[in-house]
Amino acid sequence: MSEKKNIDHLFKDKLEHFEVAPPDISWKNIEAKLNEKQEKRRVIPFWWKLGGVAAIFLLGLGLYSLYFDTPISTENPIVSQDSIKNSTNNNGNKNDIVIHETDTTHSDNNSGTHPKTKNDSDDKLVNADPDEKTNTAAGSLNEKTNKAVVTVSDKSEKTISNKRKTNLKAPIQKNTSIAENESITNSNRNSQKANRNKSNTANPASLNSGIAANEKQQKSNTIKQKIGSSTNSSVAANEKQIKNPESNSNKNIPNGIEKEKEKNPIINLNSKSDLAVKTKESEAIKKMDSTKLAVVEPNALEELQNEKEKKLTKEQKINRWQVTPNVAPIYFSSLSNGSPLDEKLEENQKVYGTNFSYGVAVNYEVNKKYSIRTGVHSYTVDYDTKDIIYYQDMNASKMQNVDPTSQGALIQIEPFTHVHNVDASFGRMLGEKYEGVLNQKTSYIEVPFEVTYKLMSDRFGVDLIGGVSTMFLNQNDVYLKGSDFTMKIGEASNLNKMHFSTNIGLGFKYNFLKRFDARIEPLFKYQINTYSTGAGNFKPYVFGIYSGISYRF
Amino acid sequence: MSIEQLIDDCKKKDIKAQEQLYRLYASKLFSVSLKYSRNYTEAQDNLQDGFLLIFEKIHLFSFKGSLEGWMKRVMINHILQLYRKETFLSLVDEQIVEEVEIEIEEDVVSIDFLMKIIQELPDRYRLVFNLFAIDGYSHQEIAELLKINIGTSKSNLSRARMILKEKIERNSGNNTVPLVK
Repeated sequence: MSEKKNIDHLFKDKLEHFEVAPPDISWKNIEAKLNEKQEKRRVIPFWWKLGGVAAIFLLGLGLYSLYFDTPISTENPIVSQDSIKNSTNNNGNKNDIVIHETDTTHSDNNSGTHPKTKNDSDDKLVNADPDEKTNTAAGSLNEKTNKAVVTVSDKSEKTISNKRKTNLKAPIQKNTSIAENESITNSNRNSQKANRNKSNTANPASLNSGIAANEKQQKSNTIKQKIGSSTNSSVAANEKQIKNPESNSNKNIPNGIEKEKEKNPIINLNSKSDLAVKTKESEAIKKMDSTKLAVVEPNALEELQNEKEKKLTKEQKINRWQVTPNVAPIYFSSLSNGSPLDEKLEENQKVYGTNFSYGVAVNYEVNKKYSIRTGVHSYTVDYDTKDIIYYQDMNASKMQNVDPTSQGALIQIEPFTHVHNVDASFGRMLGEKYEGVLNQKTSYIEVPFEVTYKLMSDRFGVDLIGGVSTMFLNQNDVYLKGSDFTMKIGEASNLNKMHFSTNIGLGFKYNFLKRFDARIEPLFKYQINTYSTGAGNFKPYVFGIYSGISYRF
Repeated sequence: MSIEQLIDDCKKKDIKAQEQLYRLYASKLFSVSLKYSRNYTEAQDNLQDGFLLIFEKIHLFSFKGSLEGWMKRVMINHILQLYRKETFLSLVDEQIVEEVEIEIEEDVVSIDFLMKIIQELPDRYRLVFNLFAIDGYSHQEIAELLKINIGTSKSNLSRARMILKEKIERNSGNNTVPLVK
């Protein structure tokens, strides 16, 4: 039978309500993926939260180190540029290159004496850049001059660096002078920012002039030497001068920074003295000699001083560890009314017991604001499920998530849902049935990993605490409590051997002795992954008020 | 168990409920998947992924309209999204033939055959034809779903019809013996 038909209709009629059973494997694949997802779903929140904590921690650490690192790293290049500036201004382009070189070599010497300070090497790098430019710009002609300059300056530098060290002593002895030095560098910074461009552009120009003035190499060498010598004399003599312009703002500088700063002002002094040097060109050579002689002793003294300082800073950093034995009343509860034992018991009233947690915490102070800590705690939680009836039954059906003991297997437990209908009091016999209470008791070993952030720290301090704990199941019992007995009827089958919690809280401390703090920390610990299956909408948490005495070492 | 209860359980990610939902609707959705996919194997993959998507998104189902309709839309959208990712050759708009009449002996054309020639269509022709002819989407909707313009949708549909018609005619011409249904 032939029939004209719209092709759309043909397909629609045939295929719209057409059904094809998919192959059996399809569901199995889906099921597998669903299970996979479910497992992932459970794990992810934990890692996310942990990740969050770690991220905050790292961020804080990063900010902290940034805050303290940047001033150090920026100062030295600035100083060197400053000296360049000065030199360009004062020397009238000819000697720029030469003076540059002396700067770099200075820093070389410094790094030799203080190998641990990174900033010296920074200095080198910064100084080296303009030098390289000058080399390339000036071409082969200058190479010789540069080399010559370097070799000459090497000698003079030793003396110069030595001189610096001697100069250093004076500022180091007084804290106030250190602070002043800082302000010097600050003022330098400002002026340098303005002048950076100038000094940069000035270099090639000065190179050219430098090339033209190859003859004057030797002169410049002598100038370097003069610089060294004059700085020594001028610095030592003119401490007051330094103070005067720069005594505006005094900040407390962390120890590590102080050292760096001490050097810088001295360098500045050099540049200042540069000015003086030129005028004294003729006398330079004599001074060199005298300075060399003077240098050796102060150097040794200075090293001693440095060592002392290092020791001081080390000692201050040492007390980062803290041990805190603590005890805490633990309040266990659930965010929702559920039952991990059996879903039939979901509606039953739960009464949560108060227990104790004992343990010890170890705290490591990462920096002024942040500490990380871990430890070991042992705690027990228990709760009663009220309003159940129990009776003996050979064919007792077991509760969903309880592995009964041999005795427990013979006891049927049901929710007592019609309490109001029966005039029954606790423990009263209802035919063969009795009313009672189910008690689930579990204990855990807890290993926390927490980060604390100091909101306030003085004699009295406040910390913000966040972190995660890993809990290892230690005890797992389910008891039946009648009017006059308590018997173990089994253990929960759905408790994970290991689960986690996310912790948040506040810590209050009072420093009552030099190394001892009294601490009290209310902590809220939300439990994750406590139950493997059938948590019955039970969302447990633990609230504990941890108190202890911590010892700092 | 009522369907509402089943949906609620599915929302709680209860795997037994999910299986039940699958058993109820797998056949219907598999036929959808077959029509929209290139072949049986792809249809199977798409069915699986589509169901996973349904289970994932079921909390969004708000009991407006039928569950079947909703699941079907999720399935179709999932497949469209797959093929949308693949680059189409940009097809030149051609003359649009609105109505394609075909003279066939209806009984001779098996569902298997129809399914086969639909699957053999180029991706976009297949999608447009399915959406428009079988599942009742408008060109406007199709254009939005496939991120093409309405003209393209119309021309794709037209081309799909022509190809299908040709194949059916050739088939009935070649096979004097009717295919057993």
